[in-house]
Amino acid sequence: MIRILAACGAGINSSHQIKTAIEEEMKKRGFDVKVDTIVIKDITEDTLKNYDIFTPISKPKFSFSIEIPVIEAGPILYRIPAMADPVFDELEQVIRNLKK
Amino acid sequence: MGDACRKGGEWVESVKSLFREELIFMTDLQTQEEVFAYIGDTLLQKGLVKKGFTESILEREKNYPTGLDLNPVADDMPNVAIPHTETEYCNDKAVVFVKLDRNIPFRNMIEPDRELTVKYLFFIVNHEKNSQTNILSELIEFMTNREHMKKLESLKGKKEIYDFLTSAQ
Repeated sequence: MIRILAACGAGINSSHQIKTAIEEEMKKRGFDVKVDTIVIKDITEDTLKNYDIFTPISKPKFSFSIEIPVIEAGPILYRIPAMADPVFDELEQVIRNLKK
Repeated sequence: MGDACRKGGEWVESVKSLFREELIFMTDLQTQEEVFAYIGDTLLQKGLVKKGFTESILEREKNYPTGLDLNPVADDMPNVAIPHTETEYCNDKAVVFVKLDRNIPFRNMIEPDRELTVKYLFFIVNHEKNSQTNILSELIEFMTNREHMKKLESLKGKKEIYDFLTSAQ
């Protein structure tokens, strides 16, 4: 199973929307993923160690470097294929590269 | 990008019911600070939010902006913003609609370094952390429908706007 961490400012609205969209789309594409949601400011270097992929709305500036693949998931919020599909395609590519 | 390829596509009852006629505003205020203070004060007087709400949405907007560029949907679309904050500053659930006489700069939700000018604001007031309805996603779905925004652009009065927001399909 691929573990993904979605993050936004409050950890409720946008990240939850990203979670639902990613889980739905990746299931359709045949991948077993689980997405957790979190408030950006609660993320530590250790938090990210528990995940394979990080999908914030836009790339946050942390004091530490991020060791896992980061995909900016903001365009998913539009819920229109022209915006969301490139993000899903990138995510699929990253998942394939993980070879899990 | 027609409606046929959209999921759901229905303006849900649970979000329509969050609009109130007294929470439809039109203003000629010209900065984000002024508009946020005006809306924050009004909501505080009505008991919908707690003290600190205005400061909190201002701070949130700085760190996690909520402007949404609707250009990817169609090139004649006005931009929108969806200011919101933590549930602890809210006492109730509502969506506050604001039409700005003059566009105000906001930063882009998905590209925070980019600025865009915004004509409509949809403030989310929500005191329930585990709300069943994802208000933000339903609002975005409403806004990314070109017909909805075109219709909104044609409406002049608060009553008309309220009726449209609560009856649109």
